[in-house]
Amino acid sequence: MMDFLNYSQLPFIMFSILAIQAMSLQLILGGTGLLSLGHAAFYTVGGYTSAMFTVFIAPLIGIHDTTLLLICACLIGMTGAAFTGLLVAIPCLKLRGDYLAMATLGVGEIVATVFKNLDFVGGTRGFKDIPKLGSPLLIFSIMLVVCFFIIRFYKTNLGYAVRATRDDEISARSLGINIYKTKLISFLIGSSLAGLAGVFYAHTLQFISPDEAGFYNSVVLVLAVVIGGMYSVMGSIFGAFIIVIIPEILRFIPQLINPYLIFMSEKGFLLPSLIPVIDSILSNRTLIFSVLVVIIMLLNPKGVASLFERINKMRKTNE
Amino acid sequence: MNNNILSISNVTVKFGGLVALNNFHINVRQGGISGVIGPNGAGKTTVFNIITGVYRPNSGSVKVNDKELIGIPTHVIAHHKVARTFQNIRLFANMSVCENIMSGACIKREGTFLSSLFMLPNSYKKEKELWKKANKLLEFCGLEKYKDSPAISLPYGMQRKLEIARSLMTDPSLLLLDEPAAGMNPTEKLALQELVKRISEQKISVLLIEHDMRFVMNLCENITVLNYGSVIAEGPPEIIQTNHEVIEAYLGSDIEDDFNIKETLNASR
Amino acid sequence: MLDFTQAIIDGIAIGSLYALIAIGYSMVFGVLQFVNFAHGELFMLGAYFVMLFLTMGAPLWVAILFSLLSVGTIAVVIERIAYKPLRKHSRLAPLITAVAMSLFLQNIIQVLFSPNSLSFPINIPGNIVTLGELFVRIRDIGIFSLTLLLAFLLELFLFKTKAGTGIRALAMHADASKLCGVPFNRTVSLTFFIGAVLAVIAGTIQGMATNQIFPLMGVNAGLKAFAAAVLGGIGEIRGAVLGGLVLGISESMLVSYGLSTYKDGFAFVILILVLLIRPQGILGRTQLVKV
Repeated sequence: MMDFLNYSQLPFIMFSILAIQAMSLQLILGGTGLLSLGHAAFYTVGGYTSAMFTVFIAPLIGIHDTTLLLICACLIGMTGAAFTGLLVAIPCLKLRGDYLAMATLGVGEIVATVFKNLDFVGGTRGFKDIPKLGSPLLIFSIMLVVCFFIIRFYKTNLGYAVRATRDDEISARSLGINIYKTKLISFLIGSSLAGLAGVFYAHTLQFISPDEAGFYNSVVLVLAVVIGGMYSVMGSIFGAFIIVIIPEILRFIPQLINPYLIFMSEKGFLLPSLIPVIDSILSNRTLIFSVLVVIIMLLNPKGVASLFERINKMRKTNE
Repeated sequence: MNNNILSISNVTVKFGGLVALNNFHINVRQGGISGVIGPNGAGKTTVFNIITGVYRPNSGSVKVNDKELIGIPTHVIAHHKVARTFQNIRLFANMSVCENIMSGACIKREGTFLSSLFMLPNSYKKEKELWKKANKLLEFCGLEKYKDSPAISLPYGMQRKLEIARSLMTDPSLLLLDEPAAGMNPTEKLALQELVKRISEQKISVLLIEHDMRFVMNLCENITVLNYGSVIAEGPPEIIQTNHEVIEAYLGSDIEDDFNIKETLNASR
Repeated sequence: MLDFTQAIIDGIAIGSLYALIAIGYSMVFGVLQFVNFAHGELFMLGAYFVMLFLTMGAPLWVAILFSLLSVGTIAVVIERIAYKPLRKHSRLAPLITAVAMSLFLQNIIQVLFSPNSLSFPINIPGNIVTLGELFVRIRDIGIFSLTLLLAFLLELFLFKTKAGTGIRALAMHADASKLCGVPFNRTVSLTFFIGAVLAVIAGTIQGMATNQIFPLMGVNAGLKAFAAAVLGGIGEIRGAVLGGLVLGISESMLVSYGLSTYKDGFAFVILILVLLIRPQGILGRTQLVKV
């Protein structure tokens, strides 16, 4: 039992962090309809700025109390990410649809390049020896708070404005909604929440690398949002869960399948020389994961939330 | 002081070389229903786009309640109590019918973000009132039974009504309807006619664009006829109906048929 | 001034490669309004397939031909399996499967060949001639002229043949062209095939010029070529070529000023700057939204 708890601690933390990130993107992508392909950049900025604070500045000004340190780190990480978000949003939100996606994709790569060139935070090797702050339970509860926050957010006037802007900008404007301001606010909230996730990431793993800002991480976030259903906050949590849990399960696949392979080669269905090849394919988790992603998307392009809707509808029509 | 809620004068709009509106003018009486008619491409929708600030005219003035609107961005114009619907229905497709209507209340809830985020009592009370109003509007437009279904699942005629309900949620004093009866069958048109009448009874002035002559003639007290961006006739329906210039030169023979139908209808009554 | 001219000359070869890859992005986007993020991987696959056929003893032209056919087929199959069923549902779903396919291709090559770089069996020597005080690699001139030739042939194909006209029609208005009898699926496949062909050629040139290939070589090249396509105006062949060259040359200028570590992000700085000034790219056309 203890073994299992120890083993599952890291995936649990990663799930909570990914869920915070996914929800922060859900606000921008599903809520406001802005396709951001550079969301990982804000998360990386949040991690780096807070780590710079805890490593370089906090000892100087004499903050040693871990609670205070964590609070300060969170605030600074969120501010840093929100500031980056503002820098990106002010010019880029004027771009329409696909072009916004293209520009934000660039932002991720630019942020990665900048951190690679900052030698005092480790350059390409990444930022090491960040103090450990926060506990799994704390991160999980923060995740719940963020979830509650976003659900409530959609019920406020801004929440309605955001969703109206997503669905039809022209009629949103005719109803008195300032769409540029609405998008800007949603982008700022989204990027600062991503920054919060980054703070916990950096201070749990005690390490953050500039590659975190790259394109693939941003796409993983989009995936988390889409798997669960774009328009649902809970869906993003579910998506994050799937993304964390699948690779963990995939660990056991090679051992599970190997006996069958040997059995088949003994029966003559399979060339024995193919066994190591299949083994190495199965033990490449990214490979299997990418295939699973394609399958999941093909089976359920609109996300799990739509699956529930479909089931509900079927039940209703049956009644 | 005059009692015109909307007065447009000398408005000219050019898109490149094309003159979309040439020296256009219209006055809408407080609480009245007026109409703009004309063939396709005559510049009718441009009139709405000028009023709501989507386009900026090259010259002229647009006054609502004696306030100049030119140069004011679209989202601010809604604060001047002007609401509109669109020719090609523009609903919030991923929101439910209720939520669509509540989106119309965004201006009313401005500045209440934090208090409504934490459900503080004052904003809770306000929201409750707005929901009450939204429910009333649902009933008013005959949409109660669709309340929680997604907006795109509604039948066509209901979508048009939802769009009207949504714009009424902003508490307008001037409502602009862009071809509200387009694509409706005769029964739906009659129901819509009743709805527009009831709206105007609530002291909301209506300006509408429509192709259906019977619909316009039955509703409007004042009609402006546009062709190639210029006003060619204006006045009450009876005058427009008998204006041969309008019938022959601009609206073509189809419309004459329409008029004949109306006359036969009147005769049969 | 001399450094400046030298930088332009040095950047032309890499710019040409970006251009060749960018054309594929641009054509697919033009037809489907969809960014095929697995496109960079076709560039990598092309190089690996040529190498594979060469080590099996085929002459170079046969190796290239076979590689063109097989990678082109792979591109078409990927489109049929991973993008086509999702086309109707949302814009995001095919984008995600595209990235998943790109991860799949990278990893399958890592498993089947090696995660490390391999040396390419044939290489073009980098002979240098001096023109006054400038140094020019002869192979760079060859690469540049080949790119222009291919782009010219492609334009010829698009404007002079029936299939090419179909592609252009589809790009302008998918529904209307379907009504006019343009075979939709076949034309889309053709577009993917052409894009793959150009990517394979770029991959082969890269392999022969740098003499080494590795499974992740498509990642960076793909992203930059994508930036190039957007930069030039996505959907336009000439835009893609121009964007590629602009990007290649500006990168080589950055290197000549000693800022080579900033190279990877720089492409996107240029991209964002251009988008802010001209949201549709240098040669792109604007689309009006009607109220």
